Amino acid sequence: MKVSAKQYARGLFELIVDKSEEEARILFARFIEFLHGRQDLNRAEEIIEELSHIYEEANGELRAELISARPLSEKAKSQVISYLEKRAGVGYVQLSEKIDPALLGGFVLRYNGLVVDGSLKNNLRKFEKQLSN
Amino acid sequence: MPSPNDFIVDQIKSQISDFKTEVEKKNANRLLKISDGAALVDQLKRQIADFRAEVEESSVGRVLKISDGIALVSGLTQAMMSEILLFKSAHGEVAGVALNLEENLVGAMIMGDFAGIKEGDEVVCTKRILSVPVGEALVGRVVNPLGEALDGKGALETTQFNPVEKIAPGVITRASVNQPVQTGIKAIDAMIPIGRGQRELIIGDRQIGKTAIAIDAIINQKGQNMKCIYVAIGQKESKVADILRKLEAAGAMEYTTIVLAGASSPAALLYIAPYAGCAMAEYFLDKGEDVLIVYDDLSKHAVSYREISLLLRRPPGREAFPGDVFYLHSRLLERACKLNSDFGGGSITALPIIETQAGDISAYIPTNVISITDGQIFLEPDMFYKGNRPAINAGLSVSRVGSSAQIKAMKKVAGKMRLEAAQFRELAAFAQFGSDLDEETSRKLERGKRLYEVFKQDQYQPLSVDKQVVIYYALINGFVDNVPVEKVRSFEAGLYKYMDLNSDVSRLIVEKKELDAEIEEKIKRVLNNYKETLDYLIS
Repeated sequence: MKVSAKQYARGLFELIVDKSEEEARILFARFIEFLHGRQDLNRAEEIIEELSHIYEEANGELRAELISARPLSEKAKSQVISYLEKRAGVGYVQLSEKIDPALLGGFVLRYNGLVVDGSLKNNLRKFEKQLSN
Repeated sequence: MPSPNDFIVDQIKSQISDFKTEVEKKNANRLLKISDGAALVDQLKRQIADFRAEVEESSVGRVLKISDGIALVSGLTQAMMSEILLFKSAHGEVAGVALNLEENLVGAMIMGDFAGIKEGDEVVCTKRILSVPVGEALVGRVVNPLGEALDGKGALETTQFNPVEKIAPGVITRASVNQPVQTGIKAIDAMIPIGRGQRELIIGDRQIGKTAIAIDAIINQKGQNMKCIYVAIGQKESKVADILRKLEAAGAMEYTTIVLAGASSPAALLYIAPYAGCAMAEYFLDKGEDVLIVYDDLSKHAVSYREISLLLRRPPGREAFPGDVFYLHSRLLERACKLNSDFGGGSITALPIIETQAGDISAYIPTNVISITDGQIFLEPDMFYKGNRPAINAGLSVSRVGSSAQIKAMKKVAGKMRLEAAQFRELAAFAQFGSDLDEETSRKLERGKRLYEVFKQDQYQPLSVDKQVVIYYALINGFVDNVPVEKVRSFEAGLYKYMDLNSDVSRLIVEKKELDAEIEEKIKRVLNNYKETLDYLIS
């Protein structure tokens, strides 16, 4: 039976979540051996990625990416963060920023496979569509 | 929950307003050059003033892999089955449909130019199930399976959309078939009658007149309260252009829509074409109207579905078709129906077409579709090359429900005629070996020859039911027995002209729909009078 990276990660997470650090270390080592036995070590990276997702979800954390044309003010950023906290119902938002002048203005926010597109570029495109109709 | 618009909109408004004037100037200048319309500028100004910057939240994924018309997309955790996805490629947006929903992946087929899409491109969910525009505006048009006009007559003005995939009407909504579809083809209307709501398969080799039968049937629907939809799946565009011209010349485009997925269209369009055509037909069905829909042809449809399935890595089965190729056609043809009066009484009559290889009707797709439909019209190369056109094999062709839909007059003459045809087929095979035949046998052979002569019919020349009744009446009652075989066709042609000029039997048959003593008497009189003219012998 093929086990998906998500299933590995969830199994491992549920094992170590309420254990002490020492116990967790032992379990983690066993998990590596277990992976080795199943010849799945090459998927370790995927599993780590999934594990961090599960960890963030369990702790009410959210990773989000904010792309804007110009650096945004602290006020705007905190607005975005508070919006995300309400919208996704999480306690902590880890915001990474990126500058992309091609957006012209506004910003694009990505989190959880969703995109909030408030860029000027996107709006201009919609505007173009409306005018040409 | 706060809408994402609330605070972002304000920010963008200020940025947009700076841009407004620039855009305004640019567009106004461009428009001024091509037209003097100050009104246009005003309209533009209004549009710009009305434009509201909007922020939308959507589920996105990225293209992981792209092969011929099929893309594997990561993410899109909220994608629905058969939802429209937008691929944002370098050449603009291309629509696709989600087909495979897996744990981390979505398999989608792309309905358009997939050459511009590359790995890593963004894909957005639209939260819309695949649907096509429907309505009266489609009548007389040529559209692609997405409902976009292909005939250069401008965009379609429709407001209503129907889902492409829909579960067929259930048991309680249906009625049994009780009204005829007059195809105008003598051999079909008499021997293999089709009723409204029936599914009758047209099957045969290539270049044998399958499409011709369907087109004749469409042409003959003029004035019969029938909307027609011709779905061309993988057909040559030249052939479809030809059909369009013929339908226009016959005045048949007034009630016909052509849905075209040509041979150069991507497999995804071929695959959805019949469902899209059916969705357009269902608009009229829901209004209580009758629709005739031709799927030309389902062999190519199955092949395009095989292509999509194999690219999606679904396990292949017999002839490399996927396991659900039966369901592919059964769910389509099940949507043809006759609704009972509580549900509007509309109907969809389906004429699917299947192309066989060297007359092999026991291949996979032909047997599937034969078992789904309510009968088939089998066209045979032997008949075709002998000059019997339409080349209908009366022995292998059947109609399982249509006879209850025939008008009484036709039923009366067709029953006896069918018997004569069957006896002739048997005797003809037998008589090849011997020359000494008794009187009864040779009489039957002679009449059979004339019968097969009557079955011959030129393309684009459908015949109304009243004339069919008269010619069959003449035949089974011996009026044609002493007409030389080679003169039967001119006898026939002359008879119809004579009938129109000198008698009202046509009108009476159409009105009463049965052969009472009075009409029979009139038919006999017309036939005798006509034969006395002997016109048919000299023409």
